[in-house]
Amino acid sequence: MNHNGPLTGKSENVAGTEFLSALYAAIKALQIYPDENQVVKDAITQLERLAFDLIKREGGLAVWLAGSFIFVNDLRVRVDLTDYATLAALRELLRGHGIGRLTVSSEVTRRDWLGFLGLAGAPSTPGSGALGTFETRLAEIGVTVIKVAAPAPLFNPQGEDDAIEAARRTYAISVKAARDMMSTMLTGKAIGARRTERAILGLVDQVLQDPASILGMVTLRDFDDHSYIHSVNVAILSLALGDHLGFSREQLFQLGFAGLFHDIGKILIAPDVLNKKGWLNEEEWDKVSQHPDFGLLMLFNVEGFQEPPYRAMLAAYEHHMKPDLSGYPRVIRRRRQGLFGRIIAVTEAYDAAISPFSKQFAPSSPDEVIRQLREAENNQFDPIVVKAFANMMGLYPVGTTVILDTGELAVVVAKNPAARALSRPLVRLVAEADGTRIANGPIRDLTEADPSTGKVSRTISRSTDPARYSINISDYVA
Amino acid sequence: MTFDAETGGWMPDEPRGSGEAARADEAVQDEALLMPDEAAVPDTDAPLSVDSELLMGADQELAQASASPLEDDGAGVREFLTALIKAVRATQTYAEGNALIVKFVDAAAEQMATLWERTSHVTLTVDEDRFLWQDQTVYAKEIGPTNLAFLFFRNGIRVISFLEGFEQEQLADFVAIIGSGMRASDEDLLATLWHRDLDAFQMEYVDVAEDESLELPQPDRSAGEGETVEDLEEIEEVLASGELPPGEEEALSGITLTDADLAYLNREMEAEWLRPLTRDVTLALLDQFEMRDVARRKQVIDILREFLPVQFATKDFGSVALTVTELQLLANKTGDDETQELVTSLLRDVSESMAELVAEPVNGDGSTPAADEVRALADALQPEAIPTLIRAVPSVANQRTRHQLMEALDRLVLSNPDSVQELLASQDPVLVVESSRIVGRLSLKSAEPALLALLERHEHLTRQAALEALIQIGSEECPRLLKTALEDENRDIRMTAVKALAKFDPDDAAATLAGVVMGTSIREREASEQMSLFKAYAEAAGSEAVPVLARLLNKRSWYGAHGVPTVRAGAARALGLLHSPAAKKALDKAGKDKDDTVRNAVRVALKAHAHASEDSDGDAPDASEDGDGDAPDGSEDGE
Repeated sequence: MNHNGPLTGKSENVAGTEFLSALYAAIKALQIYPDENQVVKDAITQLERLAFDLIKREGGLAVWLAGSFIFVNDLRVRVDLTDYATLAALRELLRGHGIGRLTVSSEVTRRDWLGFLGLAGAPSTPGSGALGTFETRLAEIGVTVIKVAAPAPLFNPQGEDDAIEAARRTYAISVKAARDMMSTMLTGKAIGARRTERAILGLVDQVLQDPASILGMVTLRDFDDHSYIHSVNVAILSLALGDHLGFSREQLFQLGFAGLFHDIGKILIAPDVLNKKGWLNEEEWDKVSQHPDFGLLMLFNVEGFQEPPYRAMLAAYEHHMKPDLSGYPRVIRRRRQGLFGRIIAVTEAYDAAISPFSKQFAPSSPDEVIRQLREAENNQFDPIVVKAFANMMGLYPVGTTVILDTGELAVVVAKNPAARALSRPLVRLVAEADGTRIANGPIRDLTEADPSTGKVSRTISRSTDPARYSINISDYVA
Repeated sequence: MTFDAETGGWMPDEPRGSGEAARADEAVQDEALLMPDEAAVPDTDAPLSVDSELLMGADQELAQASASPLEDDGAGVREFLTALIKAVRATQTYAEGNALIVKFVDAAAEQMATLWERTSHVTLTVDEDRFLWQDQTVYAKEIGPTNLAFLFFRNGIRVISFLEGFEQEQLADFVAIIGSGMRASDEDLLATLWHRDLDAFQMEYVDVAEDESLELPQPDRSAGEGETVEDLEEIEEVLASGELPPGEEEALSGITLTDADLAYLNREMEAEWLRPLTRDVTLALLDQFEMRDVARRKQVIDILREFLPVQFATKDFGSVALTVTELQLLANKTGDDETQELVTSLLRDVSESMAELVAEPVNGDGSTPAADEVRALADALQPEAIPTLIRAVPSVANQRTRHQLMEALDRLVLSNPDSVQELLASQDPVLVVESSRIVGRLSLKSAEPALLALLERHEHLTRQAALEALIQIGSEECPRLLKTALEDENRDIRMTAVKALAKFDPDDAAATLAGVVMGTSIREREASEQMSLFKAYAEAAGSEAVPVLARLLNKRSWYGAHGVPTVRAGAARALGLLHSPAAKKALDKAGKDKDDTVRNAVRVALKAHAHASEDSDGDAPDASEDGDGDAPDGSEDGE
């Protein structure tokens, strides 16, 4: 189904998750035990039952992989931390066989399942022939009711344009909502939250449907006032991390709200202080360091929700604290920094560090920022949250300018959907090895192998400063 | 279920034309009637948005892909929509929980269930005035607040899809949301449906507020076309050195989530969802109050003025207790008058609600404040809480809470004696009675004038409470008041006066009481009151009462008849308190009286004499030994 606007529906495909878990359990059981073992029998019985229910209820059973997502019958399976290991392993196992799509007919029998599971659990054939080999073996053992196919192309030019256009629209609406709300707040009036709520719903749906496109928008820098852009970027990065961690849709909404307004307190600080080049004096720093306080207090003026946005208030208040409660504001009464605050601490640090608008620091490349976050000392961030963020972004996050071992210049446009290819993202080529700029450069998957050698075609040698090559990142990503 | 040819829909089996169900049916006629004619001809001219076209195509594609696509003319979808609208109307007509709502929802669910025999989903394109299903108009109505399609359209919803299973648990919820959306024009239907996250319902929406001025970022994909990168130094350096970043394994090791990481994140997420939000916000506000200047303190106080009532509503006793305790401590700590005033003003503003919060009965959810929370809240109460406390404290079921609140009340009244004057002037009898009791308990002399005024009220409870308070205060007016009260029309007031008279008017009490017991009105009083009068008289007059009492017990009229038995019995019991030979003699004389009541009372009195003789070996009469106030009701053991 092709969608021009945000599609929203139940975010959890419970039956799909159960089926995939049963599928993986059955594959693993058959790897360990012989066919006639009771564990195998029970695992296949469970798998058959769940497959039967899905086919009966939904008229068919189809599983396909798209990016890092798994869909069962059109509906995305949300991976939460409980299922993370199982579903990630299943995804990699299928990918190993080159399988991107799996269709099961209603005539499937136990014998068919045994045959398929046995093949799926066996080592895959290295290289691009994996899927062909799998299909041949499947045919040899007479399994015709379970069909496998290659993944759909990651980047369909037409689909990509539509997706990016939708992401752009959502991004622009969010920036406008943030601007409107902050401007109104500055007048001291109570804020009706309807427009903001709509903007956040759009961001959440966008992240759930197509996180790569909306993450690309984080590279936009010349679109609007950078303080609004920063707010929206932190919301997007936080939502993407929340989604990665398996937050429910409603939880994502709250996280998105918190991200969007984490710096709301800054509107009370004079622009000449906020935008001052160089170091702030004591008085200026005193003011700037109070923005979390202001944020907490200002968010009491938000109306239109069932209750005040407490989680957003706390995130605004705590996002410059450290897990050991140092940082600012100073803590007098013992508390624990919440997870929202810790997430936003990381995403805001990331966005601030890659931003060209900082008056105190030169921007760093995204991969360098990921490295700095991981190496941050003094318990500045929650290290596991940083790790999860790095895991979500990859070693070379979207927007990183890289020099490939071919001498080509490229910009990272998406994390590679293969879970273990964290250093091999998808890139758009910007210039050839001889320095010739490429208009509308093609996208390359850095896990792609050269058919003639069987080795990967391109590898990142190092990241570089886009300014050195007059590269405006968002031209290639957003 | 019967098929309604007029509406083109299935109707529940409720008699038509009468009863409530008929009204809901009639309510839906206006739009349902529009349907058959328009629906018969596919509305190919209807303008379809780009979204719609896309979705129609997608819908057809999915329909073709499903096992048994819907191949009819949409009659089933129309029938479902008719039933759905009736159910929505029912929610608008009847109160929540009405059985008819359930019936109409069930009818819609039944219609929907028949759809799943042929397809696994139904996708409708939402136009301004109609729903389209596979190019056919399946619902149309003039644009207006009762048009279901318009309701979705104006909220920005352009496509809706129902999936199989929707009717099982979600339809009723959906119907309620739509009904509410129709009632409240300012409700954001899209947001409500989004947050409800219905399992088998999907929608596609646009931002209705999006205007022409919305500026979209426009990246330039052809940037640098035809140009050459001039600075190749870095690239050449990389190529020459063969530089490669760390290997895959090394790179992965730092950012791959381990089982321990996942377990940690799971725990942290659970902790976040269980986080005591209002408490943590409270802690932050208190920190702000403590570490910043008076302006910030004022800001915090203003917020708390709104925030504390929210906490009251959610029974967050802990946060409220923490807030009020800490604020008082901080105000004292600063020693700053302005801060003190700020805190006091806040506490005054919330005291009434706070008192209600603590004093109200335990809720169904069992939420009740802990002892230390009650203590903290009670200690923070200000005079504004006095009326609430006065009304509520007597009915507080928890003894500990009642005691703590009573202490708080006493503290407030003692430190604000004037505040209670107004309450004593109130026309609210409950408030006046309880206020009188408190000023009496606290012996507030300043309340005397107000109490005296209350004696003129006609509610006897008010007069009695005022009289009792005046007695407790020890008003100098008491002798006069008590004498008057002895003849009050109300028994309880008379009893109060009887019991107190001797204390306030020791010189005249005996004579006053003698007048009463020897008067004719004594006969009209209840036995218990008669007994109290005799007892009070015996206590006040001592041995001097014996002749009077003996006469009342044994005297016959000129025609040989005795007095009223209960009066004689009262006199006998009073003689039992006076341990003198004369008293005993009078009792002995009546020992074989023919009247059971008198005879029993004499027996009890003589026993009292016997006990007194044993205990004191003939000491002086001790009128206080009886003290039980037993009524001479004919039973030996008294009441």
